[in-house]
Amino acid sequence: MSSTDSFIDKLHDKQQKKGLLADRIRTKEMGEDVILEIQNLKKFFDIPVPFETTWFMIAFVAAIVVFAFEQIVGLILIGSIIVLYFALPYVPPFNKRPRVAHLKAVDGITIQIKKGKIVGLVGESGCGKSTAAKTIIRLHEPTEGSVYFKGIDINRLTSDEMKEIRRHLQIVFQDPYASLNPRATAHDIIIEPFDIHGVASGDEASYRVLTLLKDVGLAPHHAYRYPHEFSGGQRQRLGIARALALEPDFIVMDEPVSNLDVSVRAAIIQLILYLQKKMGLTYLFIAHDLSLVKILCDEVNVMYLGKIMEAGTSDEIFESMMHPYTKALISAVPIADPTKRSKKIFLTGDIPTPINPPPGCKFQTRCPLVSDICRVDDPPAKWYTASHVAYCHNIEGGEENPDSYTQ
Amino acid sequence: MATAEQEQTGEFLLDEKTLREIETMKGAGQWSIVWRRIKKDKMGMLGLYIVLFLILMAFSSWILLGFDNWLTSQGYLLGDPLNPRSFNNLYIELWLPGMPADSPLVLFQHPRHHFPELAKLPPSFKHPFGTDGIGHDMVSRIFFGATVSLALGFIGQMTTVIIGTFLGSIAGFYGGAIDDILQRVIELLYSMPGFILMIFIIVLFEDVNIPGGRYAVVVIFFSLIGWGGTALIVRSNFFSLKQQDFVEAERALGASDMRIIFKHILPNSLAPLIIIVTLGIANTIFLFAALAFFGFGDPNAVSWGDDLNKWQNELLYFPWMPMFPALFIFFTVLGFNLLGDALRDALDPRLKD
Amino acid sequence: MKSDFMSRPSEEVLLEINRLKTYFFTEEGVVKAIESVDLEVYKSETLGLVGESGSGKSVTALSILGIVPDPPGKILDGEVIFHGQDLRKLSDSDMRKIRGNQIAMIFQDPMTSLNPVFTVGDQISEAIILHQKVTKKEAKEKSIKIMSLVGIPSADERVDNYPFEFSGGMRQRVMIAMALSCNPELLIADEPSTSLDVTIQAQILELLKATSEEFDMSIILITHDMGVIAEMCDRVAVMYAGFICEIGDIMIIFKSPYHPYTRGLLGAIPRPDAARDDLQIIRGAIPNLINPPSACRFHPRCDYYMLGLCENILPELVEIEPGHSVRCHLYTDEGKAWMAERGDKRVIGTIPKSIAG
Repeated sequence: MSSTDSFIDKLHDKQQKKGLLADRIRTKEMGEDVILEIQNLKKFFDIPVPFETTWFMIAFVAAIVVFAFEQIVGLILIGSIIVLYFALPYVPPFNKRPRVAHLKAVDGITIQIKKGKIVGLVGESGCGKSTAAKTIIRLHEPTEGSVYFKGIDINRLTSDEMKEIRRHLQIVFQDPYASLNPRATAHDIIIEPFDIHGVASGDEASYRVLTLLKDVGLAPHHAYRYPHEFSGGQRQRLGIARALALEPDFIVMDEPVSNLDVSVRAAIIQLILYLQKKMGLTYLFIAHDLSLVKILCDEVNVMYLGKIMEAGTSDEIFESMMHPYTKALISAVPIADPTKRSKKIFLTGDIPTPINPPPGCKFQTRCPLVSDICRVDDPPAKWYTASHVAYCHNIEGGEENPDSYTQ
Repeated sequence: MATAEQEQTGEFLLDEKTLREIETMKGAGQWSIVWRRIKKDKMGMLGLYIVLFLILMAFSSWILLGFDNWLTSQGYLLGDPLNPRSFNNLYIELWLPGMPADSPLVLFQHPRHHFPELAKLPPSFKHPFGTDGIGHDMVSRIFFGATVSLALGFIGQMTTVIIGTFLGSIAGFYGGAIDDILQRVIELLYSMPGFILMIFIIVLFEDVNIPGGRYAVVVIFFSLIGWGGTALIVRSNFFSLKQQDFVEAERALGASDMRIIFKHILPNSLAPLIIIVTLGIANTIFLFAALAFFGFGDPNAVSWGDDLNKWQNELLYFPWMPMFPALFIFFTVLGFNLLGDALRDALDPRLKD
Repeated sequence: MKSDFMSRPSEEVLLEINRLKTYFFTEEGVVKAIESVDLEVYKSETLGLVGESGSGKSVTALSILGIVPDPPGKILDGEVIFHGQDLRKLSDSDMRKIRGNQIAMIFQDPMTSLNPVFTVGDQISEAIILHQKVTKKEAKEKSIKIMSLVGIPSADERVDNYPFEFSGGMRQRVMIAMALSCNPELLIADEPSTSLDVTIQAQILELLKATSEEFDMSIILITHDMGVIAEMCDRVAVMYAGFICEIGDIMIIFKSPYHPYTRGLLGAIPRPDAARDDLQIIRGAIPNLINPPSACRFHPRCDYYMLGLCENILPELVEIEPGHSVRCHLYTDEGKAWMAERGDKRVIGTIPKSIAG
């Protein structure tokens, strides 16, 4: 471990020298406990709008007419139209025309993750939480913003440096059926990380594979089975084993149990908690199941259409939530206790698409408290404690700055 | 109720012996499931037998002809290799050391040699498929024609598949401008009338003298324009596979692009490729036979298509002359198509058990 | 919400299922999807049918309507008594009159259960015309009325829209409108909210609750979510691997579950006041129904497994108290004899700590 620590120090020094960390030299000053810091992370997808071809068609027909009278000129015209048709979409003024619509999947999220904690990121489908997960560990390149891992801006690393950092950042996917290569055995799947990083080979690697299988609750005779021979829960165990192989510090859990059956779900949750205790891991736990997040997470971030609506400790979010969206979301969760049938807050309408969203607050179309200012300005941060923040124009109280609580 | 800790405590010993034992316990792979499914498909098995029979025929005729030429050139057989009427040029013989040099085992009439006095004989015991208009034995022509007919199909299809897979995988994996350009080029290829273009090219290169004769020109040109369909299928396959979670997981582990393409995506897109190749071979054989039928083959080659072309006018009077080559083309196309359909069903991921 | 859901709304039995048995004869083998299902649905009550994937809850629904895909599926045994007549003995055309008219069904996936090439108005009108003698124009007027009833805004315009112009929640509303169009007496809702988001799910469940009261309709609500059951139902039937293991009033089942599987299921979900360590695990995995465990299919995962008994003799459905039945050897005579013989003090009926609250 010491060698990788010195590697991180080296990268840190390198980025500091370049002045990349001028305003945020996190770990050294804020104490060692912040392992990952996400700052104003944005990820937009470009949806191509089909290139306008009507004018080309007209020009092409015209060129053929010309060709009938004047062969040489016609041929030149036809040739140049074909060349233009291929080339024009890449020439600067034309490539920026409304050929693309922005899908603002992640529109500026800021999260601090402390070592050894389980941080939840909850939201409904289409709110961008899975895109956020992949952008945080740089499976997507972010459009804007930075992710600092132990103080290093990972989006500025070269691919070789990034490969080394990937040993510390791992991900467990939602769908246990899609996340395992159907043509590889369990052994092949788990030995892959050792192979890529040259950590172990031969019998040593096989031994470590079997140890990992044991750690996640599978038996050694499972090693040479194919994914289709496993049940959903066992597949998810395999996915976890693969993520653990390189002994990471931080794992993104992208809805690891939402595709599993109830009775299997609890076992996987127990495993995740057991491994966290045993290996000192830090999780970013992404979910839409609020009752699970409530018992599992230390801190919770509530996301809606690519933005954080409210963040705080688990108690703060579930007991003293401020944001109207959080209130509606939590009241909508069915409670498994017939004596506690609660009064629900019903939101009108559906979740709008994140393509070219309107200015102002993202929640304006469904919010019960909506007023004119919500359609113009981004909502301000209102801090209720040093950790509890809600973004809304129309809620009472709160401070502009969290520092007023720490002083 | 059991807790996670209790589940983890089942200790086991990991020594050399256990490791070896576990390694012998490999489960049933994807391909054994596919094989099981094909075995259940009666028509598919018929196709497989036809294809295997044809491949065996093409291979053995190729080896036999080569062996015969070698024997003759080495002088193991009596007679003058330069004299066309000499015994060892009239027949394909099998001679092994120890056999008398003057009486080798005669297997077939030589496919390139004809006896004018034996022309136009109907099928009989001596000539089961009859003889053709100038005295070739039809059995011999069919047997030795298999090599060219099948080889053209295999080589033509293989080259297009290799080119198509290469270009399609790059376009599908990297996308962007490469993908755009490739798609436009494929559209261009698709908009051309392939068959007429082939005829045009053959006429254009009629006098070109390259090893392999006219068919080499045809195959080269065919592979240059025929890869579009394969490339499109591979491209869309790569495009959907690269967004799958298991590929994302590879990237999260830090795997290189080449490792992802060759170790993870390509093996998963093998199924459609196998179907393309199987059905494609049938189509290619059919295409070359059709070219020969219209007289754009190689009149000097021993192939089913050219024989069919040569004797197509004799159908009413000497029906066996064009019938047997046509029948064999039909069976080949049928066999590969049956096999391809069976493979398509067997490799269908929706039928996972 | 009903003010007093402890008392059953009515004692009149609307639907009764006895010994229902449905198998699927596939290439890999016989999938024994439903082995023996007995339940009854009372008039204007909501019955929850809860179970994990492969428990046979959807097949039960299809079997009631007689629309099990055949081949490979086949209903082998049992009776489905609706209004005193056995639906399994009815002819196809009689069954079609009941299907959609007196018993309607809504499916899990609102994306695939609407035909994409017809407008939603056409599809609702078709359902109406099929069962009622009305003209096309009247049918369309009626569909507009029913669409606004299920909360689709500006229904008179939306009636001419195609399914792809609706969001997931709105499509599920259209499905409900279609099901309600003929005033059915029984609505079978197969995971109506599973593919929807929490806030939309709350809307749809509320709509179901309101319409069931308005139309005086019974609902069989199929789901795997104990939370939805607790919010919606009057009674609940718990299914595991083709058997009903426990059926009874919702308050009793959630407070003191008798069957080990029901206990495990309730222990495995995060309850409102639970802590991290309170989550309980059910050992093992859901069985493969081609080759299921013998007799009681839960015995390999059961903490109360009785050696020599559970794998050999199938327990009968025992009525613990009126309206609450359990299929488990802990409560049968054979089981009691087994325990007495060994002086075993397997606890019956005590409540696990996490559920007690």
